[in-house]
Amino acid sequence: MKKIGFFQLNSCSGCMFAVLSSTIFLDLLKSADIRLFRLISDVQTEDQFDVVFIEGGVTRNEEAALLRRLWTEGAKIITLGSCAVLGGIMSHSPNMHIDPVNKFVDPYATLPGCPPPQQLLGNLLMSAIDGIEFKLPEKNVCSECPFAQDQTYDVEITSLNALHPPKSCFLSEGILCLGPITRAGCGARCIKGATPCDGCLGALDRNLPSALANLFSVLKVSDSIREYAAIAFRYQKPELKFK
Amino acid sequence: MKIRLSLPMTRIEGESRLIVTREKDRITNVIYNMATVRDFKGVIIGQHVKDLPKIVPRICGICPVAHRIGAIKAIETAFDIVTPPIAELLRELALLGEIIRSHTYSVFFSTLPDIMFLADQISRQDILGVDRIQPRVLPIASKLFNCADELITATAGNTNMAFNLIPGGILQNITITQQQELVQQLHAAISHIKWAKEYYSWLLSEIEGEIQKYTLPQPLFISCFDTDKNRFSGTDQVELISEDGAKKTFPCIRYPEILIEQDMLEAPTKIAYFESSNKSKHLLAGPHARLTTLQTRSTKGKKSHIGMPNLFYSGLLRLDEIEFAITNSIKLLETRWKTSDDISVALQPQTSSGASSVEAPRGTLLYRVDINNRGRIKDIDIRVPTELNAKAISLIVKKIMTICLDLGWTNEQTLERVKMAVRCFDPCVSCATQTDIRFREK
Repeated sequence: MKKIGFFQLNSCSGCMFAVLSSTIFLDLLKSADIRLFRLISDVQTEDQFDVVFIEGGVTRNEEAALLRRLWTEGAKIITLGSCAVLGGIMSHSPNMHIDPVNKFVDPYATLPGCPPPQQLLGNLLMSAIDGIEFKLPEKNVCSECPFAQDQTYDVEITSLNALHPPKSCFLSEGILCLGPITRAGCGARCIKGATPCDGCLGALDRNLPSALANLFSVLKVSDSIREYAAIAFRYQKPELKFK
Repeated sequence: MKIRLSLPMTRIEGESRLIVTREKDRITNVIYNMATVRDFKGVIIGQHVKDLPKIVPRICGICPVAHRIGAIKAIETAFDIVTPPIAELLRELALLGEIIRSHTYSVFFSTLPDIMFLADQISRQDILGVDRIQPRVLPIASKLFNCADELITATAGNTNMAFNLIPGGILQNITITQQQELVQQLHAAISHIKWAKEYYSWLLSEIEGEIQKYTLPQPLFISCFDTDKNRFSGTDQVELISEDGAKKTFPCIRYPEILIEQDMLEAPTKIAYFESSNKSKHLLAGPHARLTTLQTRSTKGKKSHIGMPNLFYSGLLRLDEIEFAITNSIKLLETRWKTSDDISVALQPQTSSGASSVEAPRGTLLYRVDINNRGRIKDIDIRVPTELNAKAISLIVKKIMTICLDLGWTNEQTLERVKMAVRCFDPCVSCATQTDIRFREK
């Protein structure tokens, strides 16, 4: 059985809780040798791991050192959730510095999402146990959205929030939705729940500033939205000033 | 001699720190605080008020719905918004789902393994050991998780963001089909929870002598549970109840005056002054406090003796609350609701301040927010239950360490007991360290 560890860095525990409450968790307990998982046991082990799952961003030197040690020892590092993969919402703190895990080590696989979608999470966990390669979808959220339209958007984008379920694509209703540039895999869960996509699965082409620049270039975006463009970087600290 | 211990004693993100002062054979002081800082205050200030409910669920992945409702209620208070009744119902149902979800984790994965260890059924804290001894436990936990997730998703949109709940109301209503399916699923969960309660009670009876050590010195109970409507989403009043049953009620917006901040070695901890005794007293938030609020409901401030809470009974109270959440959800879902198109009211940001109180699974969660004339957040203060309980945690740890020292136990045995005591509070360090910038400045 594969020796598995679940590590939490600076995070809210939401991704680990998603693992714990997932439908395949009982199978996971029986088919893997879980050596470290703070949510269910405080037993510490010095053993080497075959696979480690990392939740949260890196804020402390000790956390960076831990990642490097695990990597050096040969563990396959899998990043779980938007904080570990992209830096997450905490990267907007003006008082502390937070980095995604890939700044320190090369992850074997990544699954963003706040929290990661259950189906992809189940696939990832089983792939890790069976030693099968895990791949993220290479499509955008619009490919899963029942309201997606293949058209140009003439309506000015003036709002970030919906007040009712969409009758058509949010962008055609003047509400900013990041579905066109965001990686699929969530089944457009927020949009179906009357909330525009805010990009928790990260940019499809992995370069958010450039993807956003492209999106904004084909939309009519009001000045008030441009002034508040930080909303588009909720899960990833912008490296370019966007205005 | 001062001993500083940084232990993974909570199962959740972050590490708590215990600073123990020992003089010869006596433990003279114990301070419990949280070692990790997450700067949510820094992230929130300057954001648009409509974004606040989207940000705060990330404070805690175990009880994000409570945080979202706390933020929404604070905004609604600031703008004098009267929420449509249907929105209040869905919020309460979502919160009940979260009570089931969080308590299931707390009891089945945290407290139950501890009790089985004390009853010599498993060799150490280990959920796999629990599964070997009692194979019904984990499947029941899994079913309860599933049940809770369905309830939260149907009412709040999803379990972690609860995006259907917005300031002013909700985005969309629950369908009749969803209501019927949920009722069916919740009915099926009742037998599981009844079995769990019996099993937990039996285990407690096996270790009755041992758990007497875990009785907490008499606290000041704090709760905002709405005893008239039986709602966790609370009222705008917070209640403090002392050992003699005397009550003090105050509007939640006044909590910064009532809950005095005591600097406990770099980590802020709230203690409260209670007028009748005019001295500081440690607080206890959570299931014991909610039960006490209910028990003293009819006394109307008359003096009555309140028993000292035993931490291991918190698990049993949590199972009671899961059962309550299930039956109350069924009751609410079976009620014929007056449906209308008015499921939300518009929000017109203006310079204002608002506050709220909600009963999160771990206890009273307090929000206070200041908004400027552009609708941006000027300042925010969030007080989470683990922070309210920190002084009580220090006290129980001191008591247990003293007992263990008297018994001549090894450090390992002592620490095992200390960890159990802390886990009984169900602390979530990730949310308890969310705002304090002073910590870092020091």
